[in-house]
Amino acid sequence: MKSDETAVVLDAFQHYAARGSFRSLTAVSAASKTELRFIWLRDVAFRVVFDPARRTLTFVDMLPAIAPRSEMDRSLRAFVKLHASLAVPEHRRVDPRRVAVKVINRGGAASVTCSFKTRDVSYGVRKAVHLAHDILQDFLNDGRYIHYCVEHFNVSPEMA
Amino acid sequence: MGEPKKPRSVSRRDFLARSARGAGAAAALTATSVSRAAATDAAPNMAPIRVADQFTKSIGEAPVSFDFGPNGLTGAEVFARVCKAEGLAALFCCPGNYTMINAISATGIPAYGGRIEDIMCAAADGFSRVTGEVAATSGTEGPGFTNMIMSIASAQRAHTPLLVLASNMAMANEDRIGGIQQMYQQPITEGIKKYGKRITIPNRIHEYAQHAFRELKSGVPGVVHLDFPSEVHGARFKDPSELKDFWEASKYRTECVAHPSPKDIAKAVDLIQKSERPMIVAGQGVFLHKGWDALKRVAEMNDIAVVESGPVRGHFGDEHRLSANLASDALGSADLVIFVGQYLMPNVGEYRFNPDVKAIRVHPVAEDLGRNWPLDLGLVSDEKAALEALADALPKRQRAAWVAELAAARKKFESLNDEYYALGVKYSQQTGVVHPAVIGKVLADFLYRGDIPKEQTTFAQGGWTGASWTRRWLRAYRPGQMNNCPYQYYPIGPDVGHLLGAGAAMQLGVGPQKAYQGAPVFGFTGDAGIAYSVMEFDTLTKYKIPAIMTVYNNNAWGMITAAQGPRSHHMYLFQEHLRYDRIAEALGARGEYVTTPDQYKAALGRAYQAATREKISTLINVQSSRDFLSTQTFPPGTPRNLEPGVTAYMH
Repeated sequence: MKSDETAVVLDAFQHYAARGSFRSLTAVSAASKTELRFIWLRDVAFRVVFDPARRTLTFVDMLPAIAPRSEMDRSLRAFVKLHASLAVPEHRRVDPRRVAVKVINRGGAASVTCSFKTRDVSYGVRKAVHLAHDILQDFLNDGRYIHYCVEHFNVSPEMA
Repeated sequence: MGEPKKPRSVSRRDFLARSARGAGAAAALTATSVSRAAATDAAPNMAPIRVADQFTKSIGEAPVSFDFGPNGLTGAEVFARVCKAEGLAALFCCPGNYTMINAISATGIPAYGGRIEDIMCAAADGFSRVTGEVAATSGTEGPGFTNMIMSIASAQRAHTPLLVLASNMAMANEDRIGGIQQMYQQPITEGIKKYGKRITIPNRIHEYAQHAFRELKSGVPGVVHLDFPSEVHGARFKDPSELKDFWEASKYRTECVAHPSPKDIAKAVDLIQKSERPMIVAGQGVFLHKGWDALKRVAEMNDIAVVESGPVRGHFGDEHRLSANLASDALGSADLVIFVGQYLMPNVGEYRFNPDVKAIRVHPVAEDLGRNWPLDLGLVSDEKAALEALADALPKRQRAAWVAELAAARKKFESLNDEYYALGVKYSQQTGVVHPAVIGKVLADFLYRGDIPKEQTTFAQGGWTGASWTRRWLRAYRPGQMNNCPYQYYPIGPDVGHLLGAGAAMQLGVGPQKAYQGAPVFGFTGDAGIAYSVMEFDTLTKYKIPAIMTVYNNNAWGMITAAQGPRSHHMYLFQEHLRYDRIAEALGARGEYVTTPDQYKAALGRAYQAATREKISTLINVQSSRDFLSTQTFPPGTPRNLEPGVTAYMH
């Protein structure tokens, strides 16, 4: 039986599927964790893992092929940090008192993990999806990363 | 024996100097002397470039009225008569389809004959985009028609009400490949037209003319393609009784449009009232159906942000406090988006809205509602009618925080522009050529912050890599001011055609261009693009349509970044420092070649003087470098752009 928190996460992802954001959404539970797979922006496949024990939602290997401590790695961390600051409007902000965001680079692939308290699961999932969306739409929308997007995010070479 | 006497003519250089001194020579300089000046500069003893007397005489001929008299009317004349009655605003063509273009021109419909069918088709598209009126294009069967395909497709993607006409030999020769140029046309425009017909029964020509204008003027517009064999356009009818369905416009077409139901408006009001940060995406349907005043009323009534989309901009000016055209960073904050007149819907994710945004869409017909983007409410309505109903139903409301966020986002956009410009200046100084960010800024300063009223200049924004920079600076302050030439289909090249169309509209003072009738038009293109359409500088010059085209010359196709491997680059490169300005000069226009920002600024000033005083067009060849595309050497290579708004070109 799924935990209440897992059900909240699944409902949230179903909501985005119904709104046309996610395609081919599947959820698989194993060893108390739930893994969600779906197709999102630019027809790229994403993998998200929810760990109810730790209340973490991780976009696993969200940005591949980023060398640790590279300029892009540092910029990504700064971008994520900015979204928890007063520099962005309140409705766009990830409230650091409710959600902690970490960028973890393992083997040259950056994962983004959001952790939150029990009462903030709904808020946390929504903020995690929005933050991931902002990374894909804003962070990667930079002339410096256009060739990266051609290689990893289905951007047509015609657009580079 | 002494030196041969030079012809007594005014050189362009001398003339401009005198013009600048206020000699008032605009009236004194005839088309002939303009051309003579160009030839004199080039080679003293050569015959001058000149506009033929027959051209000037022909264009001044009085129009005729096609009424059935003792000789009756031909099929072409019957068709032209409907075009005149329907207010066809202009025809852009190349010779071919002779009886038809002769008849249309004879009615007094402004007609322009150019050099390349495809570019004249783009001119008709460009004319229609900035006026909202139906325009026609025509070419000969076979080769002329197939040459038009790129611009027909582009017009269809822009939902331009464009009438494509082409002759098509004789039915008597069908399938015999007799003579030349035979082909089946209609299958070739499959998928790139709203309606098409090969008219084969002569006495149905009036009926199909009606059908064409019903399609062009109703619902969601698009391309209508008719082809005529000689049995049809050459047929003769002694009186109307010989024609099927010979009815006047009021009998075969209605001006009636769909209005939203009060129930749907109530739902829309409810969604808007529950929203904290609503945003209207105002597509070209708002422009085509003249809904800009109603749009402004809705926005101001309830503090709703507005961002423009589509091939034409200006129906909600960039300066308005509720405009999100420059407020890229605020797009993701909208919690409700209201698509109005968005004829080509983006897919979810192609517009920079957030994944939770709710959506209303207003569209003239039901069939497209729900396409690509899931809706919370779909309204079948004419855009103006829906906006008026919303303005009447919405309560007055202020959204101070939302308005402040829009202002902050606009400021951030302009600050980023300042950063890009500073980089562009630095890179220009390092290289001795002009960075495209500098082109955008210098152009904008000239058009909007100098002596010209900022609402005056209609702009044809073409190009590819250069445009990704210049779009950030170019503005629209009134309806029909900005044509995003390559919108959606993204043909590289027909930009001089779009400039010609906008220029003709400006000279004629059609639709929203009326307020600035006679003013020069400006355009931007790249060195790849100019090669496709530079010959139409001949057409600009002979019709005295003053236009100023900036050519961003980086010696390469914009797609040079796609060159991978040592044996690929040669396919993407041109010769360096080609002189497109000299091609324009050879076609009777002016040319300027610049390598620094200051030279560019001065060249714009001279070009504007020549345009306003002499009605002479200018091509300004701005030397740049493909190296500016390098993200390593000249970061960021290309700027940060989002859709919808000023930087959009896809939807």
